[in-house]
Amino acid sequence: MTEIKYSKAIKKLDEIISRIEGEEIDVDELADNVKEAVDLLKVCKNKIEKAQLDVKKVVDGFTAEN
Amino acid sequence: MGFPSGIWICGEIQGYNRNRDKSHIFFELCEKDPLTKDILARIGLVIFSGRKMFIEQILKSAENAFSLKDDIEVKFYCKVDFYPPHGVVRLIVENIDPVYTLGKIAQEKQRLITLLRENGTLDKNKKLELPVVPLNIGLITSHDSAAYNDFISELQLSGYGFKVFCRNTLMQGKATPADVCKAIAELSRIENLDAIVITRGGGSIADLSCFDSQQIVEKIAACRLPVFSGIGHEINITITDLAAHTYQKTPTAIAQFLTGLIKTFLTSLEERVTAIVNGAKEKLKLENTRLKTYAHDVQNCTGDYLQQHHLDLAQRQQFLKEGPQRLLSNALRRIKTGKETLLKDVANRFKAEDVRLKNFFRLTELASPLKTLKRGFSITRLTDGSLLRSVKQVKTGSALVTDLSDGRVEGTVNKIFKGGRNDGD
Repeated sequence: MTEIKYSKAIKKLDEIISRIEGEEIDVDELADNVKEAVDLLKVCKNKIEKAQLDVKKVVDGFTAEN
Repeated sequence: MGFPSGIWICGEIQGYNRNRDKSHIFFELCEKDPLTKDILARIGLVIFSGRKMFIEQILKSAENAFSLKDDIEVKFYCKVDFYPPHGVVRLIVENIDPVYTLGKIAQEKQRLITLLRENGTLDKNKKLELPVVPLNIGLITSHDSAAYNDFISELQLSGYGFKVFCRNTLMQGKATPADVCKAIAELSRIENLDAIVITRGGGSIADLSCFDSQQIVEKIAACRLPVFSGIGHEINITITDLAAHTYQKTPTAIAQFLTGLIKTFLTSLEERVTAIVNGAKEKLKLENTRLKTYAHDVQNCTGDYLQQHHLDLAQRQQFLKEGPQRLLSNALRRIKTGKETLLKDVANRFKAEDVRLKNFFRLTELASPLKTLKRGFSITRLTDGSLLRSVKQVKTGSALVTDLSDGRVEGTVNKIFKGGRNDGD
């Protein structure tokens, strides 16, 4: 399975949030939706942290070379 | 005779050179028109062999020694001699004033310098641009002379790749200017030649005087190549030297000047290479620093960018903490509100029904015939039970039953009156 893209994850997250906000979600499905949202949140957070680390690595590598 | 003592006489020597190997020298002095150069006067002279040594000694000891030859102006002290068998008057040279000749030479030279300077001839060759690397040299000198050897060996010493085209040329005597001019013309025709050098070893003023030639100077001025000269003397600079692009005192010095040009070029080349290398290094260093700055900028920008995403995520996270709870509490509130509404609605409904029923009772009560009977009304029916509403329904003698509130009365119709109700009955 291919990893979900950040932008897609954020979109999905926002959809869930707006449905919760608009109270369009069935109470039966609320817990499942919240769980999915939290999972997406974790995915996004990890992606940002990884990107930060990668950028630092690349820039540090470049400045060390030169 | 009329000339018991000697006389000083001045004039230009003519016919001297033909006496080269003779013991007594017979020649002439003449006076020329300063403009036309036509001979105005002429007289024969002789230097006897016994006096020759004395005269030469005087010339040698003079400052800027010169020797007697054609075309130079001299001042002799002579005895006047008349030779009767030939009927000729001849002057016998006893002494010479070298200062006169030197002065004349100097005067003539100065006049020429002034003229050539004023008309720009002396500066013309100087205006030519020096070749950057003058390696191909046209050499005007006497082949295998000391000057030639000095010049060539100095060039060889430098180790640079000079290429010398030597034109063997007369360097002294009357024919020198013409030959030098010819040599300049010939060398100028050589392609790729960078410069022409005219050089010879030092000599007396009189020796060098052939280089005070207007002809040579004009040729140099017209030459397409820079002309370097090394003719002169410690004290005497010839006009050729003055007209040259650059002059040096000796053949060696002129060769050193040329090697100096090459050396300067090579040094400047090295300097330029160094400057290029340093410039490039500097530039690279600068660009490197700039790149590093860019790299840090990239890091900072992406840092900000990712930070913003972090914040956005944090907002969402916060919402997830509260949003679902809010949803649930809203749902609960709705249920509670529903219940209250329901109870209120039921109560209202009961109340309304109650009112409605009460009204209904009142209405039915109002409409009840019993109540009407009590108020004094009665209901009269026929025997078949139908209500009596019209006189048309009965005849005299018809039986009637009348209901009252407290009982019933039976009767018979006695009389019928048509029309409205008669209150009097």
